[in-house]
Order: sequence, then structure tokens, then C-alpha cells
Amino acid sequence: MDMMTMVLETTLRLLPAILFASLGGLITQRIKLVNLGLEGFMLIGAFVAVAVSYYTGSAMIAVLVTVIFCGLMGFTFAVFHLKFKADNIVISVAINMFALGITKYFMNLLFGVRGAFSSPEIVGLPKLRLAFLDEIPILSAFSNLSVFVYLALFLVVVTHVVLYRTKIGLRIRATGPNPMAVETAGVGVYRLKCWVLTVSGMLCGLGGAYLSLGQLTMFTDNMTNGRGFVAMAASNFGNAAPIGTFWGTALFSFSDAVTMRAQLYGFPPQLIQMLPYVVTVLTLVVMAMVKERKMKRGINHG
Amino acid sequence: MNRRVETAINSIGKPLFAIFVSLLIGAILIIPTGTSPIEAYSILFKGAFGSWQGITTSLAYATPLLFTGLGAAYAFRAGVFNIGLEGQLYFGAIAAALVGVYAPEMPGILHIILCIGAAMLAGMLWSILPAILKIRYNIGVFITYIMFNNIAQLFSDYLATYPFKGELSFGATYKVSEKVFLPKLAGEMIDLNFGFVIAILLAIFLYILLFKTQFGYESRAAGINVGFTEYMGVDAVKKTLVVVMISGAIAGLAGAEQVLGVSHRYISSFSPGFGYMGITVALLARTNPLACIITAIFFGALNNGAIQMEIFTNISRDLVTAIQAIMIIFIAADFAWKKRKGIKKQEKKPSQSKEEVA
Repeated sequence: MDMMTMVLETTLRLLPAILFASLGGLITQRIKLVNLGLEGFMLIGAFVAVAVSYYTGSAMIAVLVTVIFCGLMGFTFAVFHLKFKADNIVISVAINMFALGITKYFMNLLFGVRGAFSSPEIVGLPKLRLAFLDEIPILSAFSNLSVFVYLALFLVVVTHVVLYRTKIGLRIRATGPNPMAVETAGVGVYRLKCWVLTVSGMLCGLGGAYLSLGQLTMFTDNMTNGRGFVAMAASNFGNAAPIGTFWGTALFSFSDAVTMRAQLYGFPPQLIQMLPYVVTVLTLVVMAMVKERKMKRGINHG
Repeated sequence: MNRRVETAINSIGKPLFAIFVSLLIGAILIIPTGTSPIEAYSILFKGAFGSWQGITTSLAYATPLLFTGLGAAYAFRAGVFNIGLEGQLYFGAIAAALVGVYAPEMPGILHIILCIGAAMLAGMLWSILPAILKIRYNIGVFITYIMFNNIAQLFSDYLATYPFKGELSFGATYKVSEKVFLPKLAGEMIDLNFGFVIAILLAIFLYILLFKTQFGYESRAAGINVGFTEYMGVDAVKKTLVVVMISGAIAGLAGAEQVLGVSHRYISSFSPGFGYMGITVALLARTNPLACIITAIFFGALNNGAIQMEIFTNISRDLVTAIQAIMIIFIAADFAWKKRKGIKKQEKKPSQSKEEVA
């Protein structure tokens, strides 16, 4: 494989974890709620997926259990935030801390190891083998990818359709800017928000499960390593629109892929690991500058 | 009088309730290990407070938490959610270490002041950038702070592993000059050092600043209602920047304490999340600087005891991290105490979500 194909393949392999979570971030952003707990949901999802896959020997069951589990966590978030009025940022910080501690604790309790858990009995997610692409330049990057890569891309389309073409999507979109209007229309905003947070948790669960069963087949301490926050940034990058968010995650995965390759050439690892975070901040700044310029131009013309 | 009792119940009862519930959940989590929760907790408690060595070690653990807790509490009071303490702490630590190692020959006291000053300046500068991005471009501080935390840690680790690597085989700087060591308070073997005294004094100072001065009044007013402060003629933007800078400087101080008082050099990835734990300390203390002293010692003891528990039982110390997180959630939740006390339930305000878009 040539360099370009390899970077493309790595980008595609890194994409789903962030993409699932960023869709989860996107829908909560639609109801005007910053959910920084994406990171924690993902980490717990990654752990649950590995544990269930190890015990049942089925990746299907593992994903199913993970999605349900993370959905419940999202629901808990909703209850504490909406019913008990706990600050969403405070809950997020707590969830991330909880995820870090509880996964380490259970890794030690269940498997008696620290740092990382891997075993041949962990069944990974299936891959889609497209042998006919092997010989085609660039497209050969698609020849052996996890089915979750396609699932993630499919969910971008689904989210787009649901948000813009269905009644429930309209309600979600309206809840952010004008919850009163939605309430007046006879829709329970409280229940709607609960559902959005639950689904957000489920999506993060998918992201986590992909990370530990698709991208790798193991669990390591803090294996999400900031991906949840990057996902949130990607959703901001796309202004909470599915297609734009997809491009955001593509950009971040690409910069991740490039830095992974750069690591092979002996650059200091700390500086390389720093790059995705720097790229994230710079992207946000550039986006804000562009937005500001557009607004100014709008004023001048108007 | 009645209101006072109510406030007291709210500010003491609620944290106690949160502690109780989280320890209970912790106990449930302990059961599958086969150790009885009561035995585990008593080992934890004995480890933390059972001996002079245990107590002083707990206080040593509490010191960085008190600093970061104060940094968080002060910022929260003024309505700024500084979750970037971790990064500010890292830059404070590396700054103190570099000045401690490489500054030219000078009297000891001056050198210490220079080290601490450098740490505070580093924390301050690193805290202010996200705030400026927020004010100038309306980029949400939450994500930038977290990104900045990672960047600060990785960059400090890089400095200690490449350009300023010391004699050790891993990423650490040289030992700082012996003249800048903070004096130990409980013998050479225990990490408790003069930094603890500084932290206590700082808590008292912040309490006076917040509750007894005009500046503190304005800060607190800004925290309660930004719009209202503007009405009073206080420049909210400037105020926010000052608050963030002070908070960042305190976090930098926490890093300096770890370098000058404990490890005597910068060691890569030394913080187990002091910055994030500071948030718990501040929240449990209901952002009161004096109460932070108690909550920081509580968490210091919890962390110290957890290590003892890990040694003597099969329970991993990570349990305590999870317990702390549960504590945060319960302290942040409002279970409507008023209703339970039979006072007419007030109409709840619609829930406010932080909607800041980064």
C-alpha cells in the first residue's frame, strides 16, 4: 500500500469511535445541553463490551448489552440533571471520573490485571472483506474494514434524516431554541430531553464498543484518551448538523492518522500526541474567525 | 434563626448525605471482592488516621488537593467553571522545576520566591488563554480547558524527557537546588511539607478576600448574576479574567508544592488528577475556602487510606475514585430538602443547562 492509501485506511479505522460519540454530542447540543460526559460513557462502553464479549464469546451480545448499559447511564444523567437540577458540566466531570475509576476497579476485580486486559477469548467485531478492491489504488483502503465503519456512516445519514425529515426531529430541533413553544404544542419537553440523553449514551456505547472490539480487541486504562472531548469539538465544528459533524470527525481522525504515521519516524511521542488537541483548538479558533467574518460581511451588505 | 438552621442543614447535611450515599454504593461494590465492606472501610480509616504516620501522610496527600480545591472554589464562587486546573498545575510544576534547577546562584529565600512566582505565572498564563478565546471568539471554555489540560501535560512531559532531561532514566528533570526545598514538617520519610502551611494560610486569605472585602463581594456578585453586576457598574469581562488568573495561579502553586516539597524534580505524568479532584474538594465544601480545608483533608485521608486498603485487602484503590465521582453527583443534585421538612414546596425553577457552544 502506498502512503496515501495507508493514511486513508488509518483515518477510516479511527473514524467510527469519534463519529458515534459525536452524533451523541450533536443531539444533546440540539437540546442546548453540553454533554462532556461523552468521554466517560465511551470508556464504560469500551469496558462493558470487552467484558461481555469475553464472557459470552459473542460480539453481537456484547454490543447489545453495551448499548443498553450506556443508554441507562445516559438516562441517569438525564434524571440527575433534569429532575434533581444538578449542573450538567458537574455531572459530566463526575461521570468521566467515575468511568476512569470504575473501569480500573472492575478490570482488577474481574480479570485480576492492571493497566490492560487482553485475551484470545475476546471476540472482536466482524470485518467486511471486499477482496475485489485489493488491487485498486486508494480504494483498497476499503477492502478490509470493520462493519462498524459502515454502520457509523449509515448512522450519520439516519441522524440527518431523523433530524430534518421527521416530526420527532423537528421537535428536537425546536427544543433547543424554544422549549416553551414545543411544550405549548403539547409535547413533553422533559421526556424528549430524557430520550435524547439516553440515545446519546447509546451512541457513545457504540463508539466505546468499536474502540475496544473493532479498532483493537482489548481494554486499556483510559483507552478513550480524550476522544469524547474531540467528538464534542467535532459536533461544534459541524454546528450540530450531522453532515458537518461528519467532516469534523473526518478532519480529526485524519490528523490522528497522520500523527500516528509520524510517530514511526522518531518524533518525540509527547509532541505527536499533543497534535490532535492543538488541531482541535486551532480548528475551533479558525471556525470562530470565519463565522465572525461572515457575520460582519452580512452586516455590511445588509 | 429558622433560616439559619435551614442553611446549616443545607450546607452540612447535604455533603454528609452525599458522603454517606457514596460510601454505601462503594460498600456494595466491595461485596463481590469477598472482603467485608466494614473491614475494608475500617482498614481504610485506620490507614488514614490510625497512627501519627498515617495522619501526617494524609495531610501530605491533602496538600495539593487543598490548593486545587481553593483554585476551583474561588473560580466557582465568581461564576467561572475552571476545569483547566490540571493543566495549570502541570505548567506550574514544570516552571518551578526549571527555575529551581537552572536559575543562577542566588540567596535561598529569593530563589524559592522566584520558583513559586514562576509557577504561579505559568498557571496564570495558561488559565487566561481559554478565557480570552471565550471572550474574543465565544469559544466555549469547557472543551478548550480540557484540550489545554492535555496539551500542558504532554508539553511538560516533553520538556522533561527531551531538552531538560535529568540524570534519571525516565522523563524527569534534574533535582532542584537544595536551597529551594520546602522544609519537611514530619520527618524526612513523610511528604508533609511547608506547602501545607501555605495552603492553610491561602484558605484563610481567600475566605477574607471573598467575604470581607469589596473585591470579594464583587466577585461573588458576579458569580450569582452576571447581568446584575454589569448593572452595578463592574466590568464583568475584566472581573472574569482576574478571577481566572487568580484561580490559575493557585493551581500553579499546587504544582510548585509537589516539585519543591515532595518530588524535588519534575516527574512526567506525576499528577493522578489533582486538578479534577480539586473540583470535588470545592464542591463538597460548597465553595467555601475554609470548608475546603476539611474536605481536602477528607479526600487526602481517603486516598491515603485507599492505598492501605489495597495493600491489606484485594480491593483496588481505584474504588475511591469512583466513590468520589458518585459523591460529586449527589452533592450537585438538589433533592428538595425543603419539601421534606414540611415547608411548602416552592415552584422549582426550570432546569438550567449549560448550553455554551464551543
